[in-house]
Amino acid sequence: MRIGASIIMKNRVAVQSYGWNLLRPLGDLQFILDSLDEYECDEITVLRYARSEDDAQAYNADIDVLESCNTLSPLSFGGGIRSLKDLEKIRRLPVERLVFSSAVFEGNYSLIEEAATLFGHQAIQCLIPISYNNDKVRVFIPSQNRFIGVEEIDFESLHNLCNELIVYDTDADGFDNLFSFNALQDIKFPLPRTILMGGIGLDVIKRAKSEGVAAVSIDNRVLHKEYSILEAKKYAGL
Amino acid sequence: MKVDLIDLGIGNTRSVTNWLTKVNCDVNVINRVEDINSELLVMPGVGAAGKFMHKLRKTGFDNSVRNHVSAGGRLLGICLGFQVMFEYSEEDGGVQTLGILGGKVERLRGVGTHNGWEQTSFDFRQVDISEHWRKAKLTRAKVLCGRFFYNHEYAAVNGDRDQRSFPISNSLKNYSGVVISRNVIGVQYHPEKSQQSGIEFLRHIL
Repeated sequence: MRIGASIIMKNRVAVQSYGWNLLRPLGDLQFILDSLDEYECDEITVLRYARSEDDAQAYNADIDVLESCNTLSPLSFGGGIRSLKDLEKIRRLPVERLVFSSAVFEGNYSLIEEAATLFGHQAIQCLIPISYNNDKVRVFIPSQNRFIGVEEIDFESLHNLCNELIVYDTDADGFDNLFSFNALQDIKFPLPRTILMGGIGLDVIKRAKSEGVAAVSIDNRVLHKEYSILEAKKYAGL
Repeated sequence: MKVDLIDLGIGNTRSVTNWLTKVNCDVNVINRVEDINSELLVMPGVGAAGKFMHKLRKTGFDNSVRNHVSAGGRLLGICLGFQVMFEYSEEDGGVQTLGILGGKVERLRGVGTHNGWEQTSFDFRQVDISEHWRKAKLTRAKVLCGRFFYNHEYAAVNGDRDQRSFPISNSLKNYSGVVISRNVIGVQYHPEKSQQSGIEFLRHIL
């Protein structure tokens, strides 16, 4: 199992996110990437904060920041990739994998297929932000800023479109060990190709390993030494 | 050291450029065959084999890369750039590839996809590459131990006993992680995204 880190990016800087709505500035992206390189983080996922108010200007500004970054760790990027023009800009970035969310929910499969041609099918990750309450899983649609029922998600198409699926627990976002494993029962996707994000702590990591998931992605708390990647690997026996 | 880095407009070359400059390589990103001007050619690759080969043929890089190797120039292939060095790939319904290395590329049997890190050890005392590589003498070490990052759904099966092939791992031992054949080295992993191990790899081969 891989242990990665996720970074939320808004207005050209990295931010820490709590519960999917409270944001706290964290600072310069390059500084964070350097730290994660040093911690031997298995992979880094940079997600733009791309909700309904996102636009091309904000996208381009964030792309410029990422373009100037330099990291020796595997990098995934997502948030606001909605057109072929957006894809073309990503070619300038030091990223290997692309994360799609809105394109999946809006059925923009041709965009994802074009990305697979340009970057390889192994490079395609899809992300579903979820909320689990009263034994029900709801999925957040970033571009529409609303939740829908998980039964509306076409998992069969997802299975073919993407190499890996990121399940982002938005309620647990920024908190320790709160990831809802029960939600995985309603997500019809193979665990060996699933990445858990949001509410990842040492106990969640240990359980994720025993459940056979592909990876976990710890939020930016890994920047604090006590939550370092190396300690997490040691705790989980990796 | 001067290095020509092939850019076919598929995927990105930014990470590989960053990686090569870590050991002070003078990287020339090229998209035309007439710009080949270095003794060391690096061919990275992501995407699908069909489109990649189409681009290689369309730009003339297919013949230029073969000629470069035949003339004694060094070639380093990475990921898909490594896979297309073989004779044939199953991807995209079957594609004839460059045929610089003997063997074929097939869909990973059983696992379907391989994303992650593998611990690897190379003893360069057992595989002497000094006739063509290690010219810059960036390290005196002869053993490279490290972990390398893989992200692929297809993998190479070595088909030539004269080529030195090192398996990806014990669980993927039928597939080549590294192949060395005189002036050609191919790696299935991404050394440019393998942190310090990737840098050490460069120091051992350049």
